[in-house]
Amino acid sequence: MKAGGKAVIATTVPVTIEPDAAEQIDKLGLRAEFERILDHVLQTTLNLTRVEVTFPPSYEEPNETVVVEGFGIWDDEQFRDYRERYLRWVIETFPPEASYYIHVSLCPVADDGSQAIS
Amino acid sequence: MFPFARSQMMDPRRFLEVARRLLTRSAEEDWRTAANRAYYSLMIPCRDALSRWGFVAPKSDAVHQFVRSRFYLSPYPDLTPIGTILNHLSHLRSQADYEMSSLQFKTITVVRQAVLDADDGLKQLDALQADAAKLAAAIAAIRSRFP
Repeated sequence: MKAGGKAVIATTVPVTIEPDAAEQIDKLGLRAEFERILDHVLQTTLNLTRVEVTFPPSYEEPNETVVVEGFGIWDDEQFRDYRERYLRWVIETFPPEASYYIHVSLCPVADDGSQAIS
Repeated sequence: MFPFARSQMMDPRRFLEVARRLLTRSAEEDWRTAANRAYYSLMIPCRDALSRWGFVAPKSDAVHQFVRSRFYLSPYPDLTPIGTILNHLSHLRSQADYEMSSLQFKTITVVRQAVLDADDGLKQLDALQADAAKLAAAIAAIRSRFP
């Protein structure tokens, strides 16, 4: 985050977890890893506006991965910084299976959180 | 043997040039297509590398998971970053092609990073293949994880 930038306290961020995503996390046996990953995203990503956890359909290949999508107000530099810091942390913290089956994706949006910056 | 010389085969890395060209445009459909091209610009060279190393990918939709998992899940540090990029690009590509409600493509930020990532992944793949000792260790790691 840039010095002097406005921050949003991450603990107030709304989190939506789709039922089939929760079911898949339990099926994978990765509940503890998921909770730690979600907590890390919430605690370390400033200006996060909401988080959605989904289990995407199997379009061209069988999908087993749950996606944690974090939406927030970031410029390019902040986006890169949060993403790189998360990837470093998750690789250092868990065996690769955890981040293979629980994928975190960040998405920059506009101030109202519903429409992206054009 | 087909009468086509190997040099006549298109280099899949040229997909990255298409992705870069699409980044210069300003429509969401261009950026979604750029994400798709960025993924294939890395996935196909990774698939072909695996084939040269003795791991032949299935000729079906299972190729995506085959390639991704061998780079991401094999216990060798020079494979993991390439697998991480492949994994991210794969998810982004899926959203780009199928999820029309996705907000990932409303700005250029995510796709621009994806194109940089694909380029980085190709450089890391080249570096791995240029180092015989590292390559042997990587192949052994893939074989140990996927016997």
